[in-house]
Amino acid sequence: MGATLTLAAFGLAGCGGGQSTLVVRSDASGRIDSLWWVMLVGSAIVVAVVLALLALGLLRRRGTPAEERKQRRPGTTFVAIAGVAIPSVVLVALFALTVDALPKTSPNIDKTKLSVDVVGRQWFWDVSYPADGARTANEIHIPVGVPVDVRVTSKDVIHSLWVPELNRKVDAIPGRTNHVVFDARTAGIYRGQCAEFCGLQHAHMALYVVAEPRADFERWLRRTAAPAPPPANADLERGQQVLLGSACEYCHRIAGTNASGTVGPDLTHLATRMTLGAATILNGRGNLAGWILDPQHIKPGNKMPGTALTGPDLQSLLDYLESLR
Amino acid sequence: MAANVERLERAWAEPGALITAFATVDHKKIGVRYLTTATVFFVLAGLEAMVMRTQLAEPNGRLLSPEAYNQLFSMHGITMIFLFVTPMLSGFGNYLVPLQIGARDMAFPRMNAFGYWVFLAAGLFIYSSLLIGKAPDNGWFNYAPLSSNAQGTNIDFYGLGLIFLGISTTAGAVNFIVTIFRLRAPGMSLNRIPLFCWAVLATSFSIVFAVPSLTADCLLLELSRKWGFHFFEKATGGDPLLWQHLFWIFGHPDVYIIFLPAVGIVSSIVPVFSRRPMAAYHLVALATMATGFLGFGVWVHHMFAVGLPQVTMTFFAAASMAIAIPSGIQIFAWLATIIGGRPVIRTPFLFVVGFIVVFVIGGLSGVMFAVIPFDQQVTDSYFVVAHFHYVLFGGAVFPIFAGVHYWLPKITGRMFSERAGVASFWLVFVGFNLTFFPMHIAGLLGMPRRVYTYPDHMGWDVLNLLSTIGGFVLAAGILVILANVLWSVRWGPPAGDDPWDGNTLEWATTSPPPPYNFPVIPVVRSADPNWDREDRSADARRLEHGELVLADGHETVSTGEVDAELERVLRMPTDSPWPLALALSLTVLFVGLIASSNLIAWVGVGLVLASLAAWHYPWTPHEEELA
Amino acid sequence: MTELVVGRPDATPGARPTGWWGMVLLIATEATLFALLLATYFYLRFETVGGWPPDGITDPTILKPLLATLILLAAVVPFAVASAAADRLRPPVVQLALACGIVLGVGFLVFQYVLVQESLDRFRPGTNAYGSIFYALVGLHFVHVAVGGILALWALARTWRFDRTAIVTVRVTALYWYFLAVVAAVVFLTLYLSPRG
Repeated sequence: MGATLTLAAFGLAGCGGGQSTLVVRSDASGRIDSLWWVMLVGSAIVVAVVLALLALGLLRRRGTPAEERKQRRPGTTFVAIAGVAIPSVVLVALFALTVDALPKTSPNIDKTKLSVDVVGRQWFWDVSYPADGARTANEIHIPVGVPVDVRVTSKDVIHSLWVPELNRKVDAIPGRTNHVVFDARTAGIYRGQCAEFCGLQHAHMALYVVAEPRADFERWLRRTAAPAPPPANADLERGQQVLLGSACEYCHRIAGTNASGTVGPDLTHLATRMTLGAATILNGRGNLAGWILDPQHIKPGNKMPGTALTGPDLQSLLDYLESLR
Repeated sequence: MAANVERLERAWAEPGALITAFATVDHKKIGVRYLTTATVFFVLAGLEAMVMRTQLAEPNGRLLSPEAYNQLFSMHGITMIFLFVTPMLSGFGNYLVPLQIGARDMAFPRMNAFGYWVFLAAGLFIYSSLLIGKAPDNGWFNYAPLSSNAQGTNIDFYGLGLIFLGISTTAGAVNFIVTIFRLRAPGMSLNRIPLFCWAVLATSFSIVFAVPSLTADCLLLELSRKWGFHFFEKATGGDPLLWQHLFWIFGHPDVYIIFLPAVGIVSSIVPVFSRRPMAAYHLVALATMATGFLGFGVWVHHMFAVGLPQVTMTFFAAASMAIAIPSGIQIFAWLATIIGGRPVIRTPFLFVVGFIVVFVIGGLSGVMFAVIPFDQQVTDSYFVVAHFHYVLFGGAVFPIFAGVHYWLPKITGRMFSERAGVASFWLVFVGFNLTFFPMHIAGLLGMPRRVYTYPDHMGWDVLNLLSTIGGFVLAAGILVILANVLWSVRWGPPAGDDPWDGNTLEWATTSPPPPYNFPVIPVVRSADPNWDREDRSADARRLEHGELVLADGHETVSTGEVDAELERVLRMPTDSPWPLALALSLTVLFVGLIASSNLIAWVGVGLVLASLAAWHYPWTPHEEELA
Repeated sequence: MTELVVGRPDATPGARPTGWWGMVLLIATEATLFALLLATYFYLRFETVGGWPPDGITDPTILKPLLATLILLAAVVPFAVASAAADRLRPPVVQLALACGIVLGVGFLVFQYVLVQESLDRFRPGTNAYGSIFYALVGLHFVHVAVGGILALWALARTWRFDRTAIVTVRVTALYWYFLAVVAAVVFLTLYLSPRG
């Protein structure tokens, strides 16, 4: 738990929230970032030219309402050059830049070495690694420097997976599988957020991408693919009973137990996750308690009802959930 | 001469105020109604925005529930686009087009009245949803399948409301096209029509071909929601993207439906305040029509993130870049006119200058969106919110404010306060930029759009606070404009017929114009007819001789489509209650549909047929029987 | 619609009345609506993997829908006759021709109604997207034809006072029916012939 919180603190308290298009953590986002700076400079020049021309017109000669109208030269040549010829050249260049950049940001599945399936749901991200049987939610782990094929779809309405520091966004559309490639240059935690309005809690549907050294990633993957550790003592046993006796199992899955619901996020290794409620709050004992008792207070309109629990039951349940590493 | 004018006055004398209120077909009155009703919707949408901005001023805001916020942002977009900006520009069109082409009314005066009543009815229909807390809450483009599966009537107010409103928009477009082609003053060939009329023409053609796409989409949506049809889900052979394609085939031309009349206003003001004819008139007219046409070929750029083939996206990227060219032509034509002229800086012109600055910035960020990978990074973020507010507020609202100040003296006969006008301009200009410029940065820093709140460690806090403060400054500026208008209507000094020395024909008659617009139909020989003093004196002489006075009833002329040679005299309808009756009948039908009441709906159909029959029945036949 | 004053010294014949232009533009919007729904049909079909119609729905039979379409196409003739007769100021011919057109139109509606009832036994709008677009197209055209029938009845009634407006009414009614016929042909080709192609 301590390691998780440290990681979380690193990611969350760093400059910005780790969700900036101007912070380059991959070749793809780097390409887009370069395009942005080129276009910004170009736009600044155009704005300066237009402002200069405006100033020229406004400041040079002023008339009064009674002044006689002059029949001036039509100005067609100026308009043709400034309005057609020059913009055409600029736009052709811009188009060339576009065509050049497109392959860098588009998924080239042949080059990828790993697949992860991400399913957008109202309002969380269901993440699984089909080759290994690992499943989690609201976190994607990837090995550093390895291109990963992220296969994106939705179970209900249109969402959009957007992790700006790694690549462009890609819509999660029910009945359709889209692809985006994540290839992180450096280890780190990168925040992403749903970017297509998807209903009441669209605002609280975020996730973290954790890029880690290959060995760490493999270890994480193996652990995540394994079933939940069985309760190691009576208290944890009791906690598991509380879980299985409440409504939790109808929506949540904990591999290795009878809880196999698929409505809500997979909880098999809940304790390894940095956040709750799709990155709405940090994962910690107090927050977890608050979430279980009254999720509507934290994320009003989300699909999880509150669960009334007595003090001792709650404490044992929390102990059990904290043991799911 | 006096006898002729007296005959006109008698022919056009209006019945009592009550009848006029419900039965007038005078395009000027209808135009003013569009303008004032649209303004009310503008204020409502603005209030919606201010509540949202208050919620977003700080992270983790608790002022609004997500339900409330989602209804507000949806209604803000729907109201601004469908109930404010297009009807407002329609109001200018209604008021000005007959005057600018030298006619006495539109080609279909009763359909004109009908269009207004349906706009009012559809607007009230949509807003009734807010009163019962069931406003549309899925954004102004309402993607499926969230829309098709949504419980409750919220989305039905959207689907049925927009079909209802589309009747008004389409009727208006048909009216403008026929009017501009057939009712122009003799001599006003196509290359002499005011650029504002070119804009209205291009807009109206766009409406004719674009609105059916929205109608089709809403029809499919309502069939899905109410009668169990399936269009938008893969499981039953449908496709969520079908909604998007049909929507944006309407939606992108719609932005030109908004933009073109607005820049038509700019093209009206720039020559007058630059004291010279418009530079490159022909290129500007061509660019206007080209924009309307090309606007149909770019819609996929709203869908670059959905996973379409690269080839498809590349074509639409090229088209989206190409469409920047006609806009560039217009911008440089205005700049050439200003530089080549002797600019007079008054409030209307200030708003035009504001428009140029803001629209150029918005247009440039728009070109950035044509670069597919960049679009895929920043679409659906606050960067695109910044972009479209720059092009919509810059490209349409600034010109509307300019037009309000420019034509207020003509419509009311009174001049506004120039000092208040200047103050309002600066408040609006500063407030607008303070509100929306930071949104570019917020988007680049990863803030998605349509979020009712945001966390506090993202670097977005200060930017949002600045936007909210800017919003209040902008609101203050708008309040000053409203106050200025209201004050001047009551207490403004008389403006005279032609306070700006305008170049188009509305300035050749009194302020406000008489019901018959002109005592004699003008004859035109250039694109700046009010600057042709000899021609206007010739009009006065023809009035003396009674030539083209046409005082036997409500009459105007119809002329050839291209060269405007005189063809025949048209007798136009006078006040009629049937446009209102038909609009009310349609309202009954749509209420029946949203309430899922077959009885009410069929009653509505019956009333519609009865109203149509009464409308076309020759109650007082004017024409002779031919057989 | 603006009435026309004839017999003025400056009146010239030949120019199309404003009402005619109005109907042309109305047809343009409705034609666009149908074009988009037809495009939707092909879009859904293009997206469908496997056969079309999908889900084992059998190809529609051609004979009866063809007959129905031919009835509507035939209606073009009486409306064209009515329009020409109106221009030639011959109300009795106009009235007879309009009546024939109305009979054919009603015949189409009745026939179409029966065909739809038969189709509903095989698949319904709610069966799948194919059913939905099929009935949307057929249904929308049906409504448009019904409106055309009402318009034709009005034009017929209006001939009782045979003035210029009555003539224009007949002419625009005929225009609308030409549009209905074209749409019927295209919808028939799309729904009934193209799946076999």
